[in-house]
Amino acid sequence: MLTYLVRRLIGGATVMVFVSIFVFGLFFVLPADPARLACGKSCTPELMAEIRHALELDIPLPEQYFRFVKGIVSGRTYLAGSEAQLDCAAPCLGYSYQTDQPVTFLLKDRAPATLSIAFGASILWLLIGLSSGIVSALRRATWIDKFSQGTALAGASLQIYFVGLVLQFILVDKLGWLSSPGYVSPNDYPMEWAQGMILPWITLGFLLSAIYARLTRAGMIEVMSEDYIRTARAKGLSSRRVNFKHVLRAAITPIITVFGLDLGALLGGAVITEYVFNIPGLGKLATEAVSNVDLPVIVGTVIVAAVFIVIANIVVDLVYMILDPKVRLA
Amino acid sequence: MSIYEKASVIRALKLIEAAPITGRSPAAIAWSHLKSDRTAWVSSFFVFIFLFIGVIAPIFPRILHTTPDAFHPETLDADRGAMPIGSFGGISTQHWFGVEPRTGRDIFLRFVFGARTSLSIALIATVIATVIGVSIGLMSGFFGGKVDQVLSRLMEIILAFPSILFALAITPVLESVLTRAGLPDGNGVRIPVMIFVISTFGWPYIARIVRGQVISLREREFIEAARALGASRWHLVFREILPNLWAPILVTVALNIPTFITTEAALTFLGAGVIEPTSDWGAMLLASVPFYRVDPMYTFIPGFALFILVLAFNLLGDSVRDALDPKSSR
Amino acid sequence: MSLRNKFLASVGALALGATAMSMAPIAQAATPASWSGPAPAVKGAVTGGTLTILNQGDFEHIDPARNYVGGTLDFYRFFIRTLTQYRTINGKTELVPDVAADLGTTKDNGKTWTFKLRANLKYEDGSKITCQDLKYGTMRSYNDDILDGGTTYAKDFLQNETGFKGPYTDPTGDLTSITCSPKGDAITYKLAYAVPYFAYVTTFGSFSPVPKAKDTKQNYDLRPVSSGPYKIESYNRGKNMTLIRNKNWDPKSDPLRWNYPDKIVVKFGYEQNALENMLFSDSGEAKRAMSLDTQMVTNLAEAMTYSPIFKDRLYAFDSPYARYLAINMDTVKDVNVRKAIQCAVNLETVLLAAGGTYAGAYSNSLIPTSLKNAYRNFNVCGRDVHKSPEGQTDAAKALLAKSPNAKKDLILAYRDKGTEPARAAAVQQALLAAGFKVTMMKLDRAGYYTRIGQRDVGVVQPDVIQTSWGFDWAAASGIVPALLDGRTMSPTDSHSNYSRQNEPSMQSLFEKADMITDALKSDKALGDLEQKIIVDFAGIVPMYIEASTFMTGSKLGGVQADGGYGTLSPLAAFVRK
Repeated sequence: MLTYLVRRLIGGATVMVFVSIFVFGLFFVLPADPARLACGKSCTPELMAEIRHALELDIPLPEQYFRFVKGIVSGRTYLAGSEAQLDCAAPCLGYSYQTDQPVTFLLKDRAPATLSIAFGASILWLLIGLSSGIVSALRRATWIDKFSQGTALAGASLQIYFVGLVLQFILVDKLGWLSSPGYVSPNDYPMEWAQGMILPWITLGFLLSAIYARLTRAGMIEVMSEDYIRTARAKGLSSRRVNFKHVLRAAITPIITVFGLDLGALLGGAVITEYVFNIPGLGKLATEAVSNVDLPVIVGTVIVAAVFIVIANIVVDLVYMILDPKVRLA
Repeated sequence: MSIYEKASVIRALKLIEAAPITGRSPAAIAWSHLKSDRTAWVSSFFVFIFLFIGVIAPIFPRILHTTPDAFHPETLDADRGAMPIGSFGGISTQHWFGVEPRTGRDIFLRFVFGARTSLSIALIATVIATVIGVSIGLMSGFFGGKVDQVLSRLMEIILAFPSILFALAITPVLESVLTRAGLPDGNGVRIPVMIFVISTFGWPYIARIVRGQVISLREREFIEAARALGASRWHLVFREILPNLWAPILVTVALNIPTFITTEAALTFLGAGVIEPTSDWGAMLLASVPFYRVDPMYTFIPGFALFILVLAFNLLGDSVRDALDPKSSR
Repeated sequence: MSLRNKFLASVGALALGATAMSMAPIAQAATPASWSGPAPAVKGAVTGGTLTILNQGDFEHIDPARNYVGGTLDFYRFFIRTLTQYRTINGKTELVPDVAADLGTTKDNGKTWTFKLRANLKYEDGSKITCQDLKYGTMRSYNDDILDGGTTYAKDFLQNETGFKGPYTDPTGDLTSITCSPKGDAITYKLAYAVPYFAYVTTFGSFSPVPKAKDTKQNYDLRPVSSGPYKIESYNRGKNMTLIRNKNWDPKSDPLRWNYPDKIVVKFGYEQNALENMLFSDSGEAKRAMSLDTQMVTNLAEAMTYSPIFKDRLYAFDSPYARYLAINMDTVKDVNVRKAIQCAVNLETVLLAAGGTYAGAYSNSLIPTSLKNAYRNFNVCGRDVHKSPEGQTDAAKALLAKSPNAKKDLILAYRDKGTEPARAAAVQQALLAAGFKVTMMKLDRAGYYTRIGQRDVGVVQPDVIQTSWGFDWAAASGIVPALLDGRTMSPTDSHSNYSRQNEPSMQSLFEKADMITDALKSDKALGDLEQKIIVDFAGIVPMYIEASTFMTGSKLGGVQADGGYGTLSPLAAFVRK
């Protein structure tokens, strides 16, 4: 198993290398000249050259990439030796063109909001999805089943921006049950934090629960028709015990797979959710950076998001391996 | 993040176990199943309606004597923030769905032409992604070895990118490349870029499934038999394997079309899509956000339509899959 | 001052109301009697409490050398003092000396200016504010490669015989055009040419004292040293800022600032709709709050319709922002085509797209009507736009017919922000109706003004550019030269002259205007000049002058519209219990 883990880690690292080269190349090669953008009103060619030098854009590209990677691993120093020397500790992702703050700092600063969304929403979607699926499987073909399945289908077909706006309209504006969604630190104001997160949690929780409901239901039904389950029941084990101990356990694997992937993608920045509910998380940071053409921040957020996805994939593979002996022994 | 893609992965993997039934050809069996499925009829109907509306869109301006881009200042109340006069966003015999705030443009026409824009971009991207996905999945699965390793790695890298985030960030980059190459600005550049971005991030989902199918198929007896008889590789691929792939390909495509549509809408919603004055469902949703409290109809119309369309495709995809799967567990 | 639009950039849509309450104060120079502090007490003011400011976006920069945005220039006066400044009392705005003790004297018709300085001014830590600090504050603005984002007026106007590049690049260099008197009680500026309105220019942050020992370069932006009534207790970028009292600020030395609240808390990151609703409904923390960047948009109509109810906390005034289309005279060379564009544009649909009646007032000029000496009420396309804002499509077609071979394919550039796409669509439709072919060029917010200024060969240039301008100071000299003087351009950059106006006959008029040292006469000359450019050469299509509509919490008082910056100013604000 250790060798498998090592192989996956190396694989993951390779993927990240390619992703970083690609992202770096694309963003730093192509678009609007950042030196020009920063230059402003009375731009002269000398000033642009000075700015380009200050932003370290005048060194050859491979060298820029090398410094970039070195910065992530062991930190880097900008404009070494000059009056404006700037030290950047590892992992260094550069400085924002917009606010001059270190990108790493910005990422750390915005991460808690995204984590808050992911944390609450994931608990909710698992709860809703699993219970809906279990109920459906146990009460197959009754109206409960049909209702659950219908809701799951609706959830899978709705869009975050639509549901988000509609829920906001109803719950916040018309009924006034909730205050406007937003983020405050849970350390300082736990109550307000939870209140501000309710709307994103409900929306994401409902929409993403759909697939878990379907997987749980399908998986349980599949397993329930297996012989060994019949045997267990014949042996006199209670329904509850059979269902939860044997059936659910067997059906859980694909759920874990999908959960890992969903979580990984969400942690990378729930772009639309954060946009709709105005949560200052990684996704919002990224959209702001895009409209400001703040390249270091764009690169930073994309790479961090990719890292989350790659790690989630590796973890999911490992968990799959642990849970499913067939895979382990292969 | 494609929610439904996860279900298709799991489910389609299970399809590997399904052995073809002798007697009637699988196609005939599937078709008879489908014909008797009422949900399939209803959802096909809706899908057809939307596609039909998109196709015949140009006749509506003639019926209503106006165009989707024409401003109608007389329908707006200048003293009330340029909001539509009348309830439900200004619905009247001349403006079946009301008018847009601030511009007075006819929402029905914009909706209908928006369907044209959104659906054509999504469908073209689907076709491209399917062609690429099937080809690469075929090659990867059939040739195995180094080819498979390289192609799988490529798929992994693309899947590691946080798709919406990256698409959002990369669109202006690609646009500037094309503009610098001399293409005129505007939709002429933006639409191809959108199609490119959507299909580039979409094909790995299809390729993965196809690859899995091909891997299992190539070990089957009938392939061995054909090989023993001296069949060339091209024959094997095109005459033996590909015809057996149509089922999973069909299912995957049907279940992925909604994702392409919603990705297109999401990208336009986030600002990376077509520009004024071209109409698009994502653009309508975006434009409606500041007004959702005073003119909820403006949000509701494209949002609800998108919901119904995605729902219809999901139901249709489900029906097709169940029709093709003899061990349907519904 | 196009970058000032960043101030309005975070407002969702710019829908506002020009009602009878519109206040459009002009900054006249104040009389010497009022130059000394303290600032006159505000009626009904109480001391104490916490003033809360809720904003959508953070300040771009608070380093005085790096700012150009109206809302921030107004706000940072809580902790930044400049050579001269604007003071607004009872709706009247005047120019007063701030760190200076007078508004400057000149013996050579405006090429050299000497300001006497106030004595015994202190920073927040008790150390003295010296003439050298003032000089250093200007010198560091020369390093605009590191300290970007500010105005370039220092560099533009001051002599620089040694080619000084800024203290970071040139640590031993000196800016010889600025000299301090031996006793340090006066400062002298030698300009490259006569600038009669120089005292207005010194309101900007590059004329603010910065102690060299405390200059942390890029990081000064996070914690500038305070010389005003408040100092920064904490500043978490993008999140919040807290100001507390500066005990070393002497009210008697300051004619334009007040310090009623004990504490000022600024919070960033609110969303337009949510914040607007909070302020409109006076709920929760909004009761003791105001916003610098969020105006009434969806609530606008209701606010204006029921304005008597809200009058104590509703502020509606003309902003200094003129919204217009610049026609690129480099690429649209035929004057008939340009005049046809002027005629075709339908101002009614444009104003509706901006939000209707309360979004602003139709305008025929870039000069606001409040600048009485400079404003001219002339007809554009042969009609009074205030009475007939609709597009004159027939006139446009007739003009096009006069030049059948001229190019009719236009590229229309606009910024992806707020109501701009909708307004650009309105312009496009109007142009199409007159027979033009229009390609839309949507550009990102960031670098918009840089992009539309590019004149390089090989860069696609837009033919019609949607843009706006807020005056740098309340006179025609703060508008017309920047926007229309061909001499401000370089071969590769039009700077703010987006029309690329460079007609020889107009340029000779600009040169004549340069010679006029009397500010009033200069206003008149520039007003006439602008009229000629619009009517005879059709370099601009004026559209409307924006109105601003803000609401504050009910517990606040002393908030007022500032005529110098065109913003809602918290400077005199107080918090009732």
